[in-house]
Amino acid sequence: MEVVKGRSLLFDAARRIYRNRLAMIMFVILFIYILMALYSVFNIGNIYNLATSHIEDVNRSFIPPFQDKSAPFGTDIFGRNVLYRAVYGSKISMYLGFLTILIEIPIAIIMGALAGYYGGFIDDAIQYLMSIIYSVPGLIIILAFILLVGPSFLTIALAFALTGWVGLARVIRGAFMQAKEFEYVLAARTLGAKDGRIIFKHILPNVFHYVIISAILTFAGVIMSEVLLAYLGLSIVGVPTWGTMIADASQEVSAGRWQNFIGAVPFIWLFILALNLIGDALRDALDPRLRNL
Amino acid sequence: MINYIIRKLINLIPTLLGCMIIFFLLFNVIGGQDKVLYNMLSPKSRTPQQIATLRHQLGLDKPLFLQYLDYVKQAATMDFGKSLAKKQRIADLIKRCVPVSLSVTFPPFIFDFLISTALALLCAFYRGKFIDKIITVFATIFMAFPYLALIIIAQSFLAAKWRIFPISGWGFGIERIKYLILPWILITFSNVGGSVRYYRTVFVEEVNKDYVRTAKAKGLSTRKIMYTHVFKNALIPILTAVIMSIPGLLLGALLTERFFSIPGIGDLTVTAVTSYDLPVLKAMVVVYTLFFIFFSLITDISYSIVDPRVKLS
Repeated sequence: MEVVKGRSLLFDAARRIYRNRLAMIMFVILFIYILMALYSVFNIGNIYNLATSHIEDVNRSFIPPFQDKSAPFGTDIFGRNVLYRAVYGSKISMYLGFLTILIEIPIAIIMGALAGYYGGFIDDAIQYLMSIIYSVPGLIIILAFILLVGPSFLTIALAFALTGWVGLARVIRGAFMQAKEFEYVLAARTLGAKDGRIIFKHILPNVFHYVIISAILTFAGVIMSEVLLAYLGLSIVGVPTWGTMIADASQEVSAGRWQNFIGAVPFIWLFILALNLIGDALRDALDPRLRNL
Repeated sequence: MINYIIRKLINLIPTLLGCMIIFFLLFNVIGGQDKVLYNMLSPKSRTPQQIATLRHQLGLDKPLFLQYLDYVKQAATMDFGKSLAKKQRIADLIKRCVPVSLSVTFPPFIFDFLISTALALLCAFYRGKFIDKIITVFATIFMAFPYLALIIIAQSFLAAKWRIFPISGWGFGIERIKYLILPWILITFSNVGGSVRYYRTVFVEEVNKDYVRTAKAKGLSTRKIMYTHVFKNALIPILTAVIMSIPGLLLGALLTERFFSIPGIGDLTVTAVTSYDLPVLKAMVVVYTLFFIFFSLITDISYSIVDPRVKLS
């Protein structure tokens, strides 16, 4: 007798993503960004110095793009190579994105799980908190918070995480409310599983695709918002970020200086594009309901 | 229905009070009043006496609890005193800025809705085909493009180089439209990508439901199924997204207003944040939250109109 071996959800999802050519290309792009970030993290070729130190030579200032081989995208007002700055910017964006996710996702999971699983008073209290944070003007709070505490990786990430966790928490709460009525949860409880085990080992894996997709969208959202912060002068100071470069460009393009723009925009654009498309592919691959679309 | 609305309106109060507590904590516990007061004053007048006077003037020398009560009183009477930066009554400022912001954000909101619905229906109609793919790809590409970069490109080419639109500015009456066309186009462009993708998901999900198969089985044309059945049902999630984006319209398009020097709420907010104009920020938080809660109430009510299964109770 032939035994048909079942495929796990993860294996199945990996197989579908592997077949999705566009998603694979985007994963390769993401990998390149990770390499660039690592390149900056380990400071290979002293990229930090190249990207930040001012060159005391007027002739090196504002070299137009596509002319000098050593600086293909040109140099900025201080003679810094725009390409190096953009590459270094991928490290900053990764840090910001990951830090925000690391703070936001646990809050969302814990709040959503507690509210959905226990219900009653805990649910009421958390729902009240969520409705407040949902109704408060997030942007004003984010701007005010960063302005008061001062811009740094942690403050920016905290500001976005503390105002942004509600969306995911609501989805998780709903999913937990449904899931706790299912037989497999009853079965687990009959076998003597404690609440913590049921929440984290049994129910959470079933809603984890929401978490992954929300994490990716948060990541993209923070990087896009960093541009706004930079324009208002509230982004991290002293390191080249994509936002700072675009904000600088907004002052420079009227004088015909496109270097910062040409350096930063393709980098941020391709990165956000890759994140969005990977998010789409993961949603299609992980959500069994969308199988036959 | 009336009962429901009244109960919702009563529920609104604790939410608003909570939002005010968050803002209050932000400025009094995390930020520290001293920093705010210090930055509120002009560099020349940052003497201890001046700071003490300002503290007294704003009522910040009272106990925290009383300060919060003051804030609640201000919110109840909608009288937030004067702006420190602009030396005008805040109620007047807001009254003047809201219509300006609406004139910036409302037309793109309508364009966005119409264009996105049309494109998304097209996608759902030809799903999986070439036209669906090309629209989705373009929507995704547009969505990923940073808005600030879009403004920079448009301003330097359409306005500065080719002189199709004025670069920035603001006028009186009908003259304003001249300055508004470019912002309208830009806001629409920046929003359509995301909306098309969202609407398409909603439509496609709807198309795959059983009732569509039933309708097909009884011989209805695809056109009829799409426009009368699918469209109506898909309207419910779309309605939520659309209505809940209205409070954002009132808050204005922050970057757009700054860039095109349009004196709207977004501009007012940014100025208030960067000049530590505490009274204006306090007012903005209350006004925005009120709008937001009001429109979520409207969403609930419109559900009961669109979807007969939803009963307000």
